[in-house]
Amino acid sequence: MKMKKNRTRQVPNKSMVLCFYRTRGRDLLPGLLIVAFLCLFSFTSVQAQSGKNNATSKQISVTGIVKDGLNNPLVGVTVHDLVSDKQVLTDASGAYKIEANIGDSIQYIFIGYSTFTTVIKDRFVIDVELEAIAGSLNDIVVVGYGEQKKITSVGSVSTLNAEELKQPVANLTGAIAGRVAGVIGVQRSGQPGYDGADIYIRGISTFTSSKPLVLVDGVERDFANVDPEDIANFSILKDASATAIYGVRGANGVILIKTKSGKVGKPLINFQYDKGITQFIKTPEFADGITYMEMANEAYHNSNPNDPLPKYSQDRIDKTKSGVNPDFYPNVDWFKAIFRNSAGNQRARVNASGGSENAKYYLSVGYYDELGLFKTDDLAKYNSSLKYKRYNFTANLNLNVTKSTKVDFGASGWISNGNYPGVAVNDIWGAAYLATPISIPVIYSNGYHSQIASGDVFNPYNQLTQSGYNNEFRNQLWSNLRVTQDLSGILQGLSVTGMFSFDSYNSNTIKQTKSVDGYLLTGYDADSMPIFQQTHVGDGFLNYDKSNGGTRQYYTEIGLNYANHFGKHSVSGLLLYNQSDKTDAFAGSFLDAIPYRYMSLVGRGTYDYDEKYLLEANFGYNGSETFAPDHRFGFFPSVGLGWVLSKEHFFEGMSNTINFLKLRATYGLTGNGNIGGRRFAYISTVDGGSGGYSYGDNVDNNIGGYDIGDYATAVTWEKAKKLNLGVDLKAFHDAITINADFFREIRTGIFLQRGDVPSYVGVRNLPWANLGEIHNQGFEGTIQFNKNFSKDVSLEFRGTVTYNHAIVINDANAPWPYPWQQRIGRKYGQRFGYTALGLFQSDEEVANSPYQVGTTKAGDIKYKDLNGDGVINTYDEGPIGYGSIPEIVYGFGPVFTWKGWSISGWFKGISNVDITLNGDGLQPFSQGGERGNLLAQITDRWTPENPVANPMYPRLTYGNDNMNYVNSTWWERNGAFMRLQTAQLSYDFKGKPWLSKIGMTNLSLYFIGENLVTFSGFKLWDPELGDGRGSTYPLIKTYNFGIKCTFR
Amino acid sequence: MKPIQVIKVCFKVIKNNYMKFSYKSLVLISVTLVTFSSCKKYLDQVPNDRITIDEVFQKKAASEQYLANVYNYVDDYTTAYNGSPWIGNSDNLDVTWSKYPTYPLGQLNLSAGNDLFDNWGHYYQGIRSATYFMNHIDGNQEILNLRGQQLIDQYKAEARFLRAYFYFLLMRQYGPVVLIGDRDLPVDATAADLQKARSPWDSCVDYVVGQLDSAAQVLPLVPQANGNPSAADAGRATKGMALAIKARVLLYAASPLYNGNKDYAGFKNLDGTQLINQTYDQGKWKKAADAAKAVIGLGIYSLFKDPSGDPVKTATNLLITPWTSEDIFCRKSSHAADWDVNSYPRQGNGWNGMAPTQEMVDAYFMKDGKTIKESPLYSETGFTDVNGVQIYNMYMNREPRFYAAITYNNSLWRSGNMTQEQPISFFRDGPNGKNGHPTDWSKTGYLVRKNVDPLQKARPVVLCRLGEIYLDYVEALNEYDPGNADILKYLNMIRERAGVPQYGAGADALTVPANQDAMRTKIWEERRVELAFEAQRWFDIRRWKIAPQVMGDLHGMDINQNDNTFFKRVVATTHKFTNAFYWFPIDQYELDRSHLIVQNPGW
Repeated sequence: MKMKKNRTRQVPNKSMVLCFYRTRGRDLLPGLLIVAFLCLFSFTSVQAQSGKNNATSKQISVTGIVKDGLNNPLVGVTVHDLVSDKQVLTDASGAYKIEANIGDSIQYIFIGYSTFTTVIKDRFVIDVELEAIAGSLNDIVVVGYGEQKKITSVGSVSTLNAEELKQPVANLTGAIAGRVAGVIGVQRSGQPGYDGADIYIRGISTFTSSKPLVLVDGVERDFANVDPEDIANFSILKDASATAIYGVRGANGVILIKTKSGKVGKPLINFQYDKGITQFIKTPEFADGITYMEMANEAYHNSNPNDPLPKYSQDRIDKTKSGVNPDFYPNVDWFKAIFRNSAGNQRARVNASGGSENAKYYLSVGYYDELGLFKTDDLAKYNSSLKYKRYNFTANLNLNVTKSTKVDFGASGWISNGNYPGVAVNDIWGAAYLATPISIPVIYSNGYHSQIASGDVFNPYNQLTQSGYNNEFRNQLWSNLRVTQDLSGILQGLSVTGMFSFDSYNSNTIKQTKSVDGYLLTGYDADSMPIFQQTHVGDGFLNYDKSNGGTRQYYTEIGLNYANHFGKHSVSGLLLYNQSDKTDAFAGSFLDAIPYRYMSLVGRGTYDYDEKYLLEANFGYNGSETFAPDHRFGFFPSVGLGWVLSKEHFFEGMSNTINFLKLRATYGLTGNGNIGGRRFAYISTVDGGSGGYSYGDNVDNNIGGYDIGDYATAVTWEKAKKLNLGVDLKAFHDAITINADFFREIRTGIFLQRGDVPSYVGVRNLPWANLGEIHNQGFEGTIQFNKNFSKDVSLEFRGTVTYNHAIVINDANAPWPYPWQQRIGRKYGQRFGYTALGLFQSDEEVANSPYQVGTTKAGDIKYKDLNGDGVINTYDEGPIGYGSIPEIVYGFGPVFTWKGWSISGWFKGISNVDITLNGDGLQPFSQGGERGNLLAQITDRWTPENPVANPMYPRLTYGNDNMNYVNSTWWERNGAFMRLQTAQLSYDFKGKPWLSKIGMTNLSLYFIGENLVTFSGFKLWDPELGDGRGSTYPLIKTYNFGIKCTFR
Repeated sequence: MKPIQVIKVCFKVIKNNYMKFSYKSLVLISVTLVTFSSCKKYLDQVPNDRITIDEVFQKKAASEQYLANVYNYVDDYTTAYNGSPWIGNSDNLDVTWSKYPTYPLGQLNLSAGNDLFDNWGHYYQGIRSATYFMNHIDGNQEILNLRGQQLIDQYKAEARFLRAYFYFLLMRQYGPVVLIGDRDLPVDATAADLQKARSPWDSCVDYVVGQLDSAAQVLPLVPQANGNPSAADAGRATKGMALAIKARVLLYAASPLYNGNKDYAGFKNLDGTQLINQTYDQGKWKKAADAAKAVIGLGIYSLFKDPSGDPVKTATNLLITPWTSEDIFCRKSSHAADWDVNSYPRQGNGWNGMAPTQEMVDAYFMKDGKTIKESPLYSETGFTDVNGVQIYNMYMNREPRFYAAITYNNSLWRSGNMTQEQPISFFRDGPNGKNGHPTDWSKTGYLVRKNVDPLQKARPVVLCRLGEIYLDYVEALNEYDPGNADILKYLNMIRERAGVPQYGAGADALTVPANQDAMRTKIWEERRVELAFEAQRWFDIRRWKIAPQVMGDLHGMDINQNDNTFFKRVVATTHKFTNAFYWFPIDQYELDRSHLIVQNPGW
C-alpha cells in the first residue's frame, strides 16, 4: 500500500461531492441558475441534452486532476481504462493523462476512497473528486468554519451517521442522545409539535443556559424541524479545540449540521412513503370508583375518627357497583374517556439531485403528519382534534461561475400546522388527575355536560372536546448564499469566501375557545324528575384570540483560507470575520426588542509533519451587546496536540492487530455569553417598585410606583477552561474502531444573583455578579464493529456511552447552617429532601421519635432527624438521589445484513437518574375530598390490618394532615431505563433485473418501530417523563411500514 | 496577548517560512481586520432613552411615584387567610383552610427554616426606599420651581414617618431589629462589609419615637395641597398618624413582654449587648399615656356614630364606612373585599371560612354590660323564637357589638345572590355545613361579620382609629396612675358609643371596678371586644404575656350534628402556642447571611 501525502485543509461550507467534471472553454450557461430552480422536468431535459454526442469512437488523450473532498490533490491514484486495461497513476499534483477511446469506461481507484467509474463521452478533461469511505482514515470531519481530515484532526468531534436520524418522528432532537457520544438528553413530552428533547453536550456545566450552539449550514439555527433526509452530516464539537473559535457561544458545545448538496450525474430521484400507528408508551392507571370510595372512607375515617358517618355510604358504593344509574352514581375512568388507543402518522418525501460539471442541485420536499391520541366529539361544529402537519423543503445549488469562483446557494424551510384543543394539553392531563371517578359522568344521558360545583376541578372531557381549538401555524425560511474565490494565483492554496444568510421565522396562533354550560345532577324530586344545578355558565359561541411570534436573523461572514504542504510539512490557516443579528419581531418589552448581536474574528492554524505529529491552534475573539462597552470582547484561545503512534517505526510490528492509534490532547478557553438573568445588566433600571398607592377621600388619586429595579453590575461572559484527552484506535484492519475521550471542564464566572446579601440591605432584586463556578468531568466513548463475513452477510455493531459528573464549586450563595444542606461540593442538580426511615409501626414509636408536624400516627412516614434536635424540619433535608438529569446515557445496536435483508435495532438507556413523585391525584386526598383522582396503585397502602413495611402509600389521610407528602426518599424512584428506541427490518430489491424495467435503480420495503419496548423498574408511567405525577402527554410508540425507491 | 498580536505572529511565521506570501494577500487580511475594528459600533445598542433613577428625582410626578412606592409597603391585615396572620392566628378567629399559611402557623409549623409570613426583607425594602427618597428628593428642581421647599419637606417627613412605621411593623413581629440609619448599605459591598447586629429593643423604640417626633413636627394636621386641606391627598401621613403610631410603640414598650422581662435575660447579641432591658420601668407607662393623650389632644378626631343612633348600626358601619371622623390611619386600597367573600356563608356566595371562636363569642358582653359569667341574662339552655326562627339562648340578650360582629346559627344574613335576609345554618347537612363542600366550612359554627360588607365595596382598611387610642390611653394610665379620672372617662366613652351600660355613669350603671387589677381586667375585656378582628389581639396577648393561657384548644359548636345537639361546646380547632411564638423567628436565610444577628429566643 502506498501512502500518499494527505494534507489537511479547510474548505468552508464545501458540500460533500462525489465528483465533478470541468470542461475547458465552456462557460457557465447564463440562466442555469434559474433552470436549476425548476422542477424535475427541467432536469430530464438537461439529461437529454448531455446524452447527445456520445456515439463517435476515436482515440484521445484524457487528462485531469484527482482530488479529495478537501480539494487536495491525490497522488498515486490508479486510473484504469476498463476497456483497454491501460493503467496510469496520478503524479504529485494529482494530475494524470491516459490514452483512451470515446465510450471507454474509466475507473479511479484509491485505497480508503470509493472507486469512481465514468464513461468517456465528449470530455477530454476529467477532473475527479473521490469521496473517502465513511469511517476510514481519509474521512472528513466537519469542524467549525471548515472541514478536516479525520486522521489529522485533534479536536473532540463526534459524528452521527445521517442514516440513523431517518426515523418516523417529527422532532429530530429526541434521536440524538445515546446515538452519539458526548450528549446527555431526555425527552419530557410526546405532544405532537412539542416533543423536543433537552440536549446537553457533556451534561450541564452552568446555572445559566446550557443549550448547545446549533449551526445548520454555518448559521445559528434550530434543528428540531429539519427533515432528517436532507441532512448530509451531523457533528458534535465538544472540546476547546473544536469550540474555542465560537468564543462566547462555544462553551456548551456545538452541533454542526450540513444539508445535502447535489452530485454530478443523471438526476437521482428518491421517493419514500411510510405510514404508521402510534400509541402511548405508557399511561398511568386510575383506580375505579368503588376503590375510590372505599379508600376515601378509609382516609376520611383516619383523619376524622370522631365522625361516625363514612364519607360515602355503603348504599352509594353498592349502587355505583351495580351501575344502576350512571348519571347519579358515575364510575368514570377519565383516561378512557379522553384517550384513544391508537392514532397514526405518515410521512412522504421526494428528493432529486444531480447536475452537470458547473451546476449541481439537490431538491427535496417532505411531508409529515401525526394525529394525537385524544378523542373528539363528532357533534362539535369545529375541529378540535390534535393534529400536527409539517412540510419541509430544501434546495441547494452549487455553481462554478468561473474557473476559480464558486457560488453556493441554499434555501430551505418548513411549514407546520398544529391543531390543539382549546384548553392546553397538559391542563387536560391535569384535569384528569384532579377529577374523581365518582363525582360526575363523562356526559349526562340527556346530553347535559357535567361539571362539579366548586373550585378548580374541571371535567376533562369538556375541556378536551368542548373548549374550542387552537390552531398554530409556524413557518421557517432559511437562505444562504456563499461565494468562494480561489486565490491560487496570488498564493498557492489561498482562497477567500464570503457568505450572507437571512432567516425568518413566523408563528401565528388562532385561538377559538369556548366553554359549555355545566350541570350537576343533585338529586330527584318527588316525581322522580332529575334536579340539575347549573354549575357553570358557558359562553355559547367560539371566542377569538390570536397571538404571533417571529424572529429574523442576518448573518454575514468573510474569511480567508490557506492550505499548503512543503515536503512532509503541511500547514493550513483560517482567518474569518462574522457578525449576526437576530431580532424578536414580537418582543414584549423595549429591551427584548433590541436585536441580539454577535461579532467575531476567528482564526485557526494547523500543522502536521507526515500526518504523524499534529498541532493545531484556534482562537475566537468575539463580542456581544450583552456586555458592558468596555468589556465587550473576549479572546478565547485553544491549542491541540496529536500523535499518530501507528505511524512510528516501533509500531510496525503491531499494525496487524492495531492498525491505527492516535493520541490527542487539547486545552483551551471558551465562553458562554448566553448568561440569562437580565439583559444589559451593566445599566441600572427603574421599575414599578413594590407598586403604587391610592390616596383620596371621595376622589381617586392613584399613583403608580417607581423604584430602582436592578442595580448596575459589571457583567461578562462565563469562562470555560476545557481539557480533553482522547484516543482513537482501529484494530483488525478497521473491523473495530474505538474512540474515547476524557474531559474536564472548569466553568467560572457564571452569572448569578448574589445570594450572600442580607435582607436588611433592602434591595428588591439581589445584585448580579459573575461568581458561579462548576467543575464538570467525565468520559465518553464509541465502539464500532464492522465485518463483512461474505459478499452477502455483514454485521455492524456500534455502542456509545456518555458519563458526566458536574460539581458545584460556587453558587454565589451564603453557606447553609448544616453540612448536609450545603450545595457546594455536590453535583449540579442535586435534590434535597428528608430521609425516610420507613413507616411508623406504632403510635408509641411516634411518641418516642423526633417530632413531625401534624397528626402523625402508626403508618405514617418516619423521617431521619439529621441534626438530632428532636424535630423534623427543614434542617433535616439532606441530599437525596441523583436528580432529574441522568449522568449516564448510552446506546447500542447491531445492523445485520443478509442479501437484501437488513435488520437493525437501537437501544437507548439512561442511568444515574431518579424520579420524584408528587402532586394532586398522586398524593391521595391531599387537598381534601372531591378533588384528586387516585392511581390504581392506591390499594398498595399501609393499614392497621395489613401493616406492610414498604407499600407505595403510607396511611391514607383526608387532607394534608402530616408530613407524609413532603419531599423525601420515600417518593424517590430510580428513573433508569433502557428502551428499544428503533427497530428496523427492510428488504432491498437492489440488483433485481425487473427493477430497471420499471425504471428503478432501487426499491426497498421496510418496517420501522420506535420506542417498542422499555425496560425499567419504574412502572407508573414512562420513566423518561420524569418528576411529578406523569400528567404530561407521554412519549409515543410508532409502528411504521414504508416503501422507498430510487429512479435514475 | 491581544488577537492582533497573535495574527501578526502567525503572519511572521508564515512569511518567514514560505516566502511566497504576496503583498496582495496582506491587503486582504488588512481589509478584514479594518472591517472588524470599524464594525465594533455594531454592538453599541445601549438603550439610552429610558428613565433613570436620577431622572426620577428631577421630576415632580416621578418623585411622587417613587414616594407612592414607599407607601405601598404599608400593611393590610385584611388578607387574613394567607398574607397576614394577626387575626386568624389569634384566639379570636380560625381560618378554616389548611392549605393557606395561617392554618399551619397554628400547628406550630413555623421555624427559621420555613418562611411563613416572612416580612423581614419586605419591610427593609420599604425602609431602604424611604431612605433613598429622603437622600435624593432635596434637589428636585421641578418641585422647587413649583412650590418650593415646603412640599419637599413634607414629602421627606412622610417618608420618615413611613420608615419609622416599617421599623415598628418589624419590631412587633420580630422584637429588636437592625437599625440601618440614614445611609443605604451599598449593594456592591462584600458580604463581610454588610454585617450589622440587632439593636436593643429600647434603642429601637427610641429611634422610632425620635423619627416619629421629627416627622410629626413637619407633617400637617390634615392632608394638604398648596397649604390647603386636600381631599385628594387623604391617606398621606399626617401629624396624627405619627403621634398615634408613637403612642402604640410606647404602649408596647411599656408592656410586660418588653419592660424588664426577666425571661429574656439570656437574649443578648454576640458581643453581650442585652436586647431586652431587665429592669421594669413604670415611667414607660407614663410615656405611653402621654403619647396617647397627645393624639387625643389634637382634637380633630371623634368617635364614629351612625346617624340613626342604633348602636348595632354604629358597630356594623364603623369600619365599612370610609374615612370616618374616628379614622387616624387608613390604607385606601385594601383587600377588604377578599375579607368579605372569605367571610360570607356559602349560601351568600362566599367561601365560608372565617370562623370566630367560642372564646371570642363568650367575650362579648351581655346587653346589661356584664360578662356572660356575671350576667343573669345569660343562658346556655333552650331556644327563643325570634320572628319564627329558633335562636339558641346563648345568643340572646347580647350587646350590640356582638350582633354586628358574629354570624351564629340561624342569624340572618344577606349577601351575594341572596334575594333577602335568611337564617344561616351551620348544621352538618345544611347549606353552609361541613358536608356540603370539601374545604369551605366553618370549624366553629360561626362566621365573622365585623367589617364584612354584604356589597363587597372597595374600601380603606383602618390601621389606627381613635377608639384604639382611648384604650391605649386608659390601659397605660391605669398602670401608673390607677385612680386617674380619665380612665373611667375614656373607657366609658367606648362603652357609651357601643350602647353598653357604663361603669358608674349613665343609665343602668355598673359598679366601678374596685382596684387597679379589676380595672385592668375590664380594660382588657373591653379592648378584646372593641378591637376584635382589627389585628390587635395577636400582639396584645403577647405583650400582656397571656398567650400561653388563652391559646391552645379553641372551641366552637358541634358542626358534625344536624339537630340541636349542635349546640354543644366542642374543641373546634387548636391554635398551639409555645414561648418561642412571642416573636417570629428570624429566617434562616437571613441568619446564614447576617453573621451578627442572633436568633430570637426559643428558635
